[in-house]
Amino acid sequence: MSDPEPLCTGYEDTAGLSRRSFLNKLGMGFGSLALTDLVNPVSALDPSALLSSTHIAPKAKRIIFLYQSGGPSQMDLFDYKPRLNAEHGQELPDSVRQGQRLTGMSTNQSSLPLAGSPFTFDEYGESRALLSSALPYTAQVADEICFVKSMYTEAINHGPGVTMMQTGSQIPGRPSFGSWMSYGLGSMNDNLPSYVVLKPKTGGGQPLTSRYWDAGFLPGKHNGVQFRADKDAVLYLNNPQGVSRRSRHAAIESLQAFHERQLAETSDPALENHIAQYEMAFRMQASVPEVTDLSGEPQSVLDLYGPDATEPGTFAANCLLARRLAEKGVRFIQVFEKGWDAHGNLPANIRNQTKKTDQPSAALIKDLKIRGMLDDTLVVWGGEFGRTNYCQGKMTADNFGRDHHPRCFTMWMAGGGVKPGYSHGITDDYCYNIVQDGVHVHDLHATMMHLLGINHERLTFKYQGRHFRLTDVHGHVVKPILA
Amino acid sequence: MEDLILFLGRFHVLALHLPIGILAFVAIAELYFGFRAKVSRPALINTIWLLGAISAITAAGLGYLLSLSGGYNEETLELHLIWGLITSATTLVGWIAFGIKGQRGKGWVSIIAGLQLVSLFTAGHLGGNLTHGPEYLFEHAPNPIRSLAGFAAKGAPRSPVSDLAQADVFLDVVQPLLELRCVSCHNPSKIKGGLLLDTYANIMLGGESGASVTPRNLSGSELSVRINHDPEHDDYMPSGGKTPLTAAQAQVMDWWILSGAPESGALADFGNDADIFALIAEAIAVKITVTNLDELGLPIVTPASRDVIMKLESLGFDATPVSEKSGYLDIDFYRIVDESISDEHVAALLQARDHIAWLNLGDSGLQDHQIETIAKLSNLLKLDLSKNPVTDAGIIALRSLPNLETLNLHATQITDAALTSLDKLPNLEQAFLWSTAVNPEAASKRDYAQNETGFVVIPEDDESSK
Repeated sequence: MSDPEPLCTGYEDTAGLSRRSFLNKLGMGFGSLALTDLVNPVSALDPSALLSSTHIAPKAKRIIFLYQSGGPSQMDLFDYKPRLNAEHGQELPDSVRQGQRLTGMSTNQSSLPLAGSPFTFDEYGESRALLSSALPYTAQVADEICFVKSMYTEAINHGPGVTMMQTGSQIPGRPSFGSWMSYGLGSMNDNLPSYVVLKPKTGGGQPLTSRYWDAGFLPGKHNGVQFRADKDAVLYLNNPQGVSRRSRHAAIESLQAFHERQLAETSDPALENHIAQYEMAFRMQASVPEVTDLSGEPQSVLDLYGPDATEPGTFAANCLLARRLAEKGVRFIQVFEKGWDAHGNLPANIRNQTKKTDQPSAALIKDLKIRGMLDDTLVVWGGEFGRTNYCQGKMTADNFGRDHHPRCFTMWMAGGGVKPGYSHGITDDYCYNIVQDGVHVHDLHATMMHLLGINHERLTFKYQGRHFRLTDVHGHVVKPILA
Repeated sequence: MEDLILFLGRFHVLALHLPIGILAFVAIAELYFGFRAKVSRPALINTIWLLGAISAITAAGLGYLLSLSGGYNEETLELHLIWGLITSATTLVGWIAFGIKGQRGKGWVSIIAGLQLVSLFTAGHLGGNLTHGPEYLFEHAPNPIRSLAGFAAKGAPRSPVSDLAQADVFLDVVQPLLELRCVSCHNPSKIKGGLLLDTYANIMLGGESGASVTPRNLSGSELSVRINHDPEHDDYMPSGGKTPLTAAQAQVMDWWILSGAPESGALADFGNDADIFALIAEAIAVKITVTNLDELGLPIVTPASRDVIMKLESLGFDATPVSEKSGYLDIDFYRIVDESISDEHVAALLQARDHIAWLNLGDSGLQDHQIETIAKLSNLLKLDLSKNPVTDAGIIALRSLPNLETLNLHATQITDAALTSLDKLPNLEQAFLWSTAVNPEAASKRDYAQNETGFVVIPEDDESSK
């Protein structure tokens, strides 16, 4: 048998064996299975997953990432800094800034006056978590939450910042976290994608482009699939008018037959992806309408998520949908919310944003908890960076803005093997630098992977001659926050 | 020039063995022939005295060069030098008196040969102390001998580690490794590099090159940096070709530093990571009793066969080993819209009946009679039967599951009667009963239905957002 000629698709066909020919060879007996095991990294057990099993027993089987795009202000929500109120209006001391760079938006300001938070803080729950008065619902579930107050990143602007949080690199092109998960763990439910993205339907804020959930150099089937708040939740999924499901099925079967013939002559992973996508799309025609239909949700659950829950495309509706997708075995569900980028009008911005997000975020935790799903679902809440302790723009008696601040910010996690009712890391009194236990984005990624049972150093993909990891050459599991 | 001095100086350690052998021999030989008049003394002895003198003076000279490198206990070094010179001088006197002047008197013989032996052993012993530390010779001596030599009696030795979890992180792990490979040069009488590694406090003090240990910071810990250098590197430790730490021992040192370099504490307090335990066991050569429990706390099983997993996958189950170290399976089932799980599907699970630890059949359309089959999966730890039309009658079968810890029954048709069945489960830790007809008051009397935040059991009709 001569080797099939590779196509010029940009994919490196390292093994010279496509999934299909690999599966066909399974029929030839155990000897050939052993051989293919040697040359092909794809697990013999689940061809969709790289790893035939996780490295350690997973604590979390799925992740719901409530992404807060724009960069929520840590000192107005989670990280209580009374000193900022005491020194409100005074200059940011040079001893605190230590000459560190600012973003282009406030670097030319003649003055950098400190701005105390207009929100009051109180202790909540048995864990006595300090939370802002802007988060009354989150306060109710404080004992379920693990706050990481010492997050940091290198990025100072949204594009690189979100890209870093999503892919572990500021430079676009690497696979996103969800794509790595899909690649490593495969799908639990073959009727739905393993990585689903939910975006707000309306509202301004920084744009959320599809490269944030792109598979990068991983096979395209690991792309995040966006579910839209529309009658067509997934674009181009439904049959054209007048085409029946049976007819569609017959068309796909004929197309597959042609593809098989081509595959017999040429090995082409890209074509394999196509086939997998056609098959998946056909199954999703039935499964997507089912999962996105909220009509079966009892009123009590809708009430839990708040008045927006029945309004498609809101954060509340997306959180509810995220829970439904989690129930159906989707591994990574990413709910994006926009609008945290409060360069000006911060007090009003925080009130608006928390009005949209506070109740649904807390509701998701409660909802997962009552269904027994919080134990193996990791909920992550946070954005690409924090905000400055000083005012950007004009400061008035009751109004001011805050610029981007990458040196410290707060994220929180709940469920899925993290320590509940716990706060990790300490920032200085000015909320400018980290004093203790800094957690880099790479460390967060390594920890999230650890909770999924994956050693972040052992999930790799060879591309352009080297083995890439989500955490590149960095990342330490943050052990103190593990339950 | 300095290099040349050091280069030559290090030959001291080689050269000194010659006078030790030669001088011990010649002194004893002189005594023998001096007191046994019947045997004639061979003239060769004279030549040996000369050879002894040359070797002793050479060794002393090289020794002086070596001493210039510093790092030795000053007091011991001075004594070693004096006794080395006495040895050389005595040897020279012996050669002149016996070889050239032909002295044969018993008095001469006793004094010169006797002094020769005393100074030789004194110098040698002091030299040994310089290299190995003053404790070296008597370290393992019985207590009476130790007290004669002026050492404190040995304290009760730490009993050998039998249970790693209870072993002390410093006294049983770190300190023995340091004593094995580091303390011979970094002790109060040698202080190489100004660094002492004999006690916790001294370790934290550091040496001339900076902090030997900075908690949680490997690159800031000279100790870690040096033991992990390439062995050819100038700064590699232990230096001078002494036995290095094994890979496992070096890794354990790094783990200790990363864990905050604790002064004490049972290993169990630093997380029960099996990999770390295995590493420590290897480093300090403790045989850990092979646990007969799997990662999940269940008995170890031979992993489920590929054939069984493939069979379950082909039926539409998602079947995965719980981890690469565990023999148990995690199984999920997601049905195609509205198609209830068939008896054939449920029966297929029996092919892996000893292997299934986690089973999720939530929203699968499972019915009461199928639970009887599920109840045969005796190693189940987690079972999700939520959102299925199962009733109290079906739940009764679950009583036979000895290991079940987590049971999800939310949105099923069970009532208070199901609690009687759940009460029989010996290891049940958590049961999820939300959205069932179970009376919250009845549930609240059960530990397994308790929760800290108080919102697990919310009856559907009077539940509200607050």
